[in-house]
Amino acid sequence: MTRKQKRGVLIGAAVAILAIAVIMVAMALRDTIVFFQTPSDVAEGKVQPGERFRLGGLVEDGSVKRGQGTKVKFAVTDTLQSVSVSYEGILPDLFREGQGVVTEGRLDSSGLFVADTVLAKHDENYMPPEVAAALKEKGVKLGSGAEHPDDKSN
Amino acid sequence: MILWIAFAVVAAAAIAVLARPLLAEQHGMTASAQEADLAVYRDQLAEIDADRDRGLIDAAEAESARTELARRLLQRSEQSDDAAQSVAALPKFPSPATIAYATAATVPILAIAIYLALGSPSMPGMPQSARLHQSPEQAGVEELVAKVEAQLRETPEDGRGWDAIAPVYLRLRRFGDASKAFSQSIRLLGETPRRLRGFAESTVLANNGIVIEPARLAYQQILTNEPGDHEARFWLSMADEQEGMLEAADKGYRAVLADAPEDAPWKSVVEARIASIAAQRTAETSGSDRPASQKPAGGQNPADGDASTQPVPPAASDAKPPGPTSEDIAAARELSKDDQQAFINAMVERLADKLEKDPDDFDGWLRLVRAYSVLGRRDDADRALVSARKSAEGNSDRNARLDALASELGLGI
Amino acid sequence: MIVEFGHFALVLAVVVALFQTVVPLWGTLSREPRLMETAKPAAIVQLLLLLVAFLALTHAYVTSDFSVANVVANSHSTKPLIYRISGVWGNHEGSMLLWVLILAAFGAAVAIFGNNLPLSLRANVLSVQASIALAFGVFILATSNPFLRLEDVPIDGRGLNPILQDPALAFHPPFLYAGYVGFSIAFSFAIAALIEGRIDAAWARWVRPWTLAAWMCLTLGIAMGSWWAYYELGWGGWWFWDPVENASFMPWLAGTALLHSALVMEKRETLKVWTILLAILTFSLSLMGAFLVRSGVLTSVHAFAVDPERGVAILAIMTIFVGGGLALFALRAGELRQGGLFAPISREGALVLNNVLLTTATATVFVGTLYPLLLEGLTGAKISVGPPYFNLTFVPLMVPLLIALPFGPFLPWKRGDIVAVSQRLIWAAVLALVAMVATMALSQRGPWLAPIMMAVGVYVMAGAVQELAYRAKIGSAGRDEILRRLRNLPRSIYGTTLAHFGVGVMVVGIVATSAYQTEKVLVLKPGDTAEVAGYTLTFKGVAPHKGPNFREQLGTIEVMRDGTPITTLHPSKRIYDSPPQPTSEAGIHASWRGDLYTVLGDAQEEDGGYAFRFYFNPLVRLIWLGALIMFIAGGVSLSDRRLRVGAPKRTSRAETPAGVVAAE
Repeated sequence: MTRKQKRGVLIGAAVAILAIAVIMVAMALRDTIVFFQTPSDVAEGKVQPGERFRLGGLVEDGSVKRGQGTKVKFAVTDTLQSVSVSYEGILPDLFREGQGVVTEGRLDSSGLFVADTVLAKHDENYMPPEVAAALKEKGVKLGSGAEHPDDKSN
Repeated sequence: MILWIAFAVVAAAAIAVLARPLLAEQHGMTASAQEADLAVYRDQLAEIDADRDRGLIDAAEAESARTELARRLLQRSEQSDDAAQSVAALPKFPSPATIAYATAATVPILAIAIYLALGSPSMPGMPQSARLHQSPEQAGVEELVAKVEAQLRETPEDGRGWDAIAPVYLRLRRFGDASKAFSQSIRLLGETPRRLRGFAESTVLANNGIVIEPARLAYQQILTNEPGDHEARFWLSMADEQEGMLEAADKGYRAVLADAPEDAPWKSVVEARIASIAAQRTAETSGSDRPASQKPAGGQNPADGDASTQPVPPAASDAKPPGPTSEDIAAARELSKDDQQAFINAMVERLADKLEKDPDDFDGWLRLVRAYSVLGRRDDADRALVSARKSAEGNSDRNARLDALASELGLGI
Repeated sequence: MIVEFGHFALVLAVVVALFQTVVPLWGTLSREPRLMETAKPAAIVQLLLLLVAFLALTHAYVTSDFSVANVVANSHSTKPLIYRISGVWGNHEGSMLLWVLILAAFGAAVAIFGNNLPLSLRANVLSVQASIALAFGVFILATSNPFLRLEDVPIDGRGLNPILQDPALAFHPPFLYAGYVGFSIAFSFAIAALIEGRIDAAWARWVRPWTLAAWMCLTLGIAMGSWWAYYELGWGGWWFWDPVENASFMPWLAGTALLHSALVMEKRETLKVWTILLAILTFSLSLMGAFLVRSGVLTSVHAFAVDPERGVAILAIMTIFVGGGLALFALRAGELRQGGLFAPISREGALVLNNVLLTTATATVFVGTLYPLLLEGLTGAKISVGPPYFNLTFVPLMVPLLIALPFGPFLPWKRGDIVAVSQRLIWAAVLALVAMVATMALSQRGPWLAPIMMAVGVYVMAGAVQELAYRAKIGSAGRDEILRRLRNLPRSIYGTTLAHFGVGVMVVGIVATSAYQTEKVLVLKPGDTAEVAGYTLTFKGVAPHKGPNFREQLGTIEVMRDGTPITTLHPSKRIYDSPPQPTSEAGIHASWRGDLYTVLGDAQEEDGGYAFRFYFNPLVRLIWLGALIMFIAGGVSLSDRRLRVGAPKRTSRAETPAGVVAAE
């Protein structure tokens, strides 16, 4: 092989790998990304049943109901709309009524959000930024419920 | 001073080290780029031989690697460094010595200037152990308190610790802590008049001057031990007054006044209470159905002329949370005891005003209901409860809390 | 007094960094050796001053000096000593100080060990290194000064976030930073080469050991972080493709590529331009990691307190160094001479493939991490990119990499014979097949891909061993000959073999855990038992318990296997005193077979039962064992004389080197 051919093979192989990677990335981004929605988005019908998405908001006060075993139901609200969520498993340590939460799952045909993941950040004052931004967008003022006596910014 | 000497020493040492090469005699490069490259190539040649000897590469591979290296070596040895450097050299000005002197001048000035802008050179270090082990005269009260608190965390059953810290809390106006500490010392060491008195006083103050049940019981106990005690009798009367038993209160106050020593400084206080009750009674008969929030603030105490009892103007209180601010509590502490009652009333009125403007403050309503109820103003309490219901609308948790409160206070639901 | 002295030392160090940035560079540009000579003492002084500053801050933490705002915000007098110390870097300000300290330490090491580097190269490298220290030093003083004092001294601090109070996490940041910052040396060398427009022969020899040292630390740092997340967060997982994890993983991937391309550059003086670019990119990714973690643009469980102002400052620093570096590269890369030739099938070719795959993989992680930001910026839509994305993009790139991996060390330089190498790897392939069949026989369930991937892991391990066997001529030579050969093999060969073996071990661990994890969520009342992966778990009850700075509800679970008691596990729910924050502590029984992992959930209101989550993670320890092996392998390689810093031994020139070197 000449110098040129050798270089051609190398560059060709590298470009091929890159091209394959680009295709994979494009496909994966189309299929696997999960959108973040607020209860108002759900109420507006932006999400189809069966479509996987993240639902974020505040855990509505007084909505947490424990069921059989580790089943639990609660409502996620952006204070304008709320969506009922069912979850089976152990809730995170910082899951609390009135606190910010992000859940991931799908809507069933009756409009119940069946979550398989519930996230509450390891921080007393944590408001998931998506939630905070979404709530702000909806013009909701965060009330005193979000305040804690032991404020700590870490 | 020591600190500045230390700074000077460090800065001088740093400058000396930095400037040394600059002040040295002219010298040749320790390793020219060309020499260094050739050294590397020679080393690599040796490694190829070693690898061949170990059988890591075969003879043919070794030979071709040697040839390649030899070519590089030859090439490099023919090429001088200056030719390789494509950039034209900059002028050698300023001279190294000038740079050395400039460094010696600018480095400390720059460092000190930045430090002065950011640092706190006058502040000594304050490691906690040193603060806690200072002799008591030097140590601030807070340090002492922290020390005792640390001990009490370790040995919460140490009655003497609680006994020691309780009056300090009281003096520091940490009334809630004081009340807790007195009750612990009573539990662990038994009752004494001093502890009972401390408990009762701190409990009342912790509750914004309202004689709640535990405090009332404590005063009764004091009275059992020392039947003539003026203070206990006064506060028990106050408790009666707050519960709306104006007649009993009036009688109690008058009894206290009757056997008060001639020169007792608190006599005027009791007289003021009596006058206040008289006024309340008149008000009750004339127009008790006026909504509480429309009463002029402090209006229940026409006897008070004292400026310190004037409520804070509404404009100033707007931005504040509805609860008593720390200044309020501080002010309460400054007041003589009778003025405290007036102060409490003023505070309650302020809360009512505040809630009128901001009816969503649920916790505020709870406090107001409780305050009215404790002050014996049942009608006002009922009205406040109705308003609280409104702010709790649709919230089961809040409603449950209201139900609990109403049944506790015996109010209509 | 000590605090203020530390503060002054920090300020002085920043001023010295300014000196070190300007004077030596001026020296190389004006060809004045006396100016170049100042780089060395300046680098050492800078390190000493930063060390003083760091020790002063540590002293403030250890003695709980609450006149220092940073101590108040992040420490508490009741905290155990080790966490008072680790609290120094458990927060933004202190960790930035540690960052510049490590930066200065790497610079000083170049200064001390670099006596036989060409003077101008050393001056330029140290000058670039100091410019990074200067930028971060100014950043610290302006936005994140850990030495600021409080007029009103509080009685006690606010405490450290309790989930950070953990031995693994205490030492995770120093290693991580040593890794991130270590790549700055490669960056400084790259920029120095571009400034001079010439790459010295010593370049790759120098860059490689420093990159290796940084890579080792980063490997260990990431592994510690993953281990911490595994047992502390109570989610049973060990890697979440969390943005902050990715931020440390990207420099690792790029650094691994750099390590391999520097090898080609050293041996063959080729791939120069690429290696320089990779050195710039690797450190750029480190800087980006710092930016992502500290700016708050991405959120994560690992993130520091966020402050947009700081984010902008770090972004500015990043832009200057990355942009400046790439601009200089674009300007000067053309002047660098090209090196030797090689055929596509050769050691060089294999290493190029390694580089292409690793950098492409880095790019996929990069896209997955930053795409949400980009999309939100462009359309306002909020999305999250989770593990499925990475499984579809990153993992497929790793498969050819792993398959090609054992071929590399067998291939000779310049030109190789792939058929011959394949024949040498036949035993590795056979072992891999056996492993695949065994996996299929042992597990009835799990994805179809899992046995194949298990086979790949075993194949990588076996391939590494086989390379050693081939070099020692095991199977064809006598015992004495084999031993002699094993003794004579350079340590760098052992390092390579060991590192590649570690990769195989890790792959086996990852595949086994990912494909065959058992998870059970159930409610148990005291006395109830549960069966998990062959273990019998009996719930004994929950009792309150008090620790040094927390209270907890301590569960007790007795573990039996085939009727014999194995251990008692204590998963618990903790509430820390300061700040009051709940956490879960998993109860873990570790064995070679796998980890039994128990998490205590909430009490059930009606019947006194407790929710539990049980996992069995088969072979999960192999993941961290693999990382540890890689770390050790790096150390073995570093101890090789040929890699040792200060490489060209000037004295050996005069002698006949072959015999001398071979005898070592």
